[in-house]
Amino acid sequence: MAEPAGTDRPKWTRNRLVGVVCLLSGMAVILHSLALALGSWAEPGPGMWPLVIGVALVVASVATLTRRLDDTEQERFCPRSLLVVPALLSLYVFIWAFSLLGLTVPGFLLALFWLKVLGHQGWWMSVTLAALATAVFYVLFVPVLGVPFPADLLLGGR
Amino acid sequence: MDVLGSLLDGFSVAFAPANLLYVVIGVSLGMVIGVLPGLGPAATIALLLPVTFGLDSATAIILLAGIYYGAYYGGTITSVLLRLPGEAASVVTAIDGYEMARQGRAGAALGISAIGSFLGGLVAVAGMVLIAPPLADIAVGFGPPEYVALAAVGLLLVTYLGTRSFSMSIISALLGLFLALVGMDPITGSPRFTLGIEDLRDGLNFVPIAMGLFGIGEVLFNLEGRAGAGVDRAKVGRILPTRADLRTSSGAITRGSLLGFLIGVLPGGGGVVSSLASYGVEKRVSKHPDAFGRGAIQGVAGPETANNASSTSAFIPLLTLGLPSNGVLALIFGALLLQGVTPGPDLITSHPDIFWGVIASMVLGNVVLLVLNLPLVGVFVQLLKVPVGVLAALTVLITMVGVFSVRNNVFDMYVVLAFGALGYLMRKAGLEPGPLVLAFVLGPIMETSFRQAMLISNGDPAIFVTRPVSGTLLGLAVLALLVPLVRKALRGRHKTAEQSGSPTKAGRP
Repeated sequence: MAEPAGTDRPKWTRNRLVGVVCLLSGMAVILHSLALALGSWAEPGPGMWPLVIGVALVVASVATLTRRLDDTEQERFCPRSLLVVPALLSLYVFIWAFSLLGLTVPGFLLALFWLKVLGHQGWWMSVTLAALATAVFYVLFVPVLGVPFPADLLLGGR
Repeated sequence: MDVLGSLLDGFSVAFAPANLLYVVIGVSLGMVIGVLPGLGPAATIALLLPVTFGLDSATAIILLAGIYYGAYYGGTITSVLLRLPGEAASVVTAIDGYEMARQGRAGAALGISAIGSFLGGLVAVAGMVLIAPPLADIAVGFGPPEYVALAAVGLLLVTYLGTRSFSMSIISALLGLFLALVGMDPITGSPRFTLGIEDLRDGLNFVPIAMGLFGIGEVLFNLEGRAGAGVDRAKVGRILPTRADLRTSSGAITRGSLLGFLIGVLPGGGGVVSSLASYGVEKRVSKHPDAFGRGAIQGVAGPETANNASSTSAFIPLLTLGLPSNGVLALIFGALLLQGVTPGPDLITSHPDIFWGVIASMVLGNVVLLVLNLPLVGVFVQLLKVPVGVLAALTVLITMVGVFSVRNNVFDMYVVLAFGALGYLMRKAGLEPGPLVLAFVLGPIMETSFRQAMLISNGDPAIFVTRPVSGTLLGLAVLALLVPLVRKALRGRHKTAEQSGSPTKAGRP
């Protein structure tokens, strides 16, 4: 569908970006499913259903790309959006530390970081709450629910 | 009567001390998270999935269902007092509810919502008792083609009725179907889309996806500080509605119950759609439509009744067909699977304790909610003082620890992280995570049924249209697809005439 030039031209916004990303993933899905055995209509193989989905993805993304935008649906990125980066990074480091050191120390530090740095709480509040939350979750998951956490730096064991 | 006996059995399940305790915990928790900014029922249920793992299956579903309908009661409080809808379904309540609060009638608004929700919930439970068993009897005869059609229609309706744009919801659903492909092919066992990663051979697990998209995604989204920062809130005042209030709202509550129940049975019909529909109906029926938007009590009573009725009747397709009808029910479906129970037409006979126990627990839960709401509403209002940052910290910690506990697997924690990032980006891009999760759950059902149907028909795709049930359903689906296209074409023609659109993003017209 041709867009009238000038007045109502579609902006290159995230809507478009979603469309492009989905178009590419749809094509990737199609390629991968063709590599799997398609089978026949009477006996569909592993690739048949993925092919259907890949084609549907391509069709849907083309529809999104040709759609005229009202652009009210998206949230703008703002400077505070950057907070997502340290937030994700802290979780990544936590997972890594958790697998090596168990819950207590990494859990306390993660909660502290989220309370103090991301949540703007006072020191006293952050330290108390982080310690309390870690303790409660430790008790809930280890002795009560019997989950085998990685060996703990402080409490040792298992 | 057989139904009566079963219902009594259900009550004996619901009154078992442990279950009674979990009903109370569930609905109170639902209330709390409905009030707290930034955590919806979906996120909470996702966070609790690991905990339910250790519970008895009936108990687990009783708990999660309580959270679901409890959250609707809680969401009302913030809508009325702060004009901040706790979840999408109470967006409409914020219009007249907040207006009533500004006129000093916040108590009346909250009181009438509680009473309406209670009655709506009871009507829906009664309807469920009557409809679900016969529906399950019919559904026993369904074969693979019917399941493909049902799942496809369900997904389409969910995307069509979604709060955001249709094409974006479809994309979200397709992403869910795609993610469901990862892992071994269910029939031949050959690996698909695993990128050579050993941990992906068994497929992506439902729990980390849900916890990532809803839990972490929501927390990241709220980091930017849009939720409930220092808004003036109205005084609650007298809670019990006056006799005049009750008389004015009685019609709205009756209509809301029936409308909510009917809409709730449809896929995608829970919550938002029913409250929007009820608001529309009330405005049309009213002798003073101009009072709406200026604190009309019917504009609170009707939608609140309808959303609670629909959140109850939405359990019908899940418990009789084994098909969840929205994102939250997809989570409850996931919880049942974790328990080793596959919901389907035979659930009523094979697990009567779950079916009748959950129904009976809903009656109890609504009674508890009525008690929590009328005298104790002031206590819940205090929760609004909890800082968002504190909630976020607790949420991330319990998400990470919780997801590990399900399979004692660090890989799942990375999956949560990845899906948390995806959930954040999806919100930013205007893609709802609900259809994705639903499609992820329905994907394997659709694929297996599709392939079985093709085997049965010896490769003739006509099997989907020639069998009466699946043919009708697919016909409806095509209609649902065509209507928006036709409407858009018409609108496009009128567009030059009236350029300005309405700024509400709450729902589709």
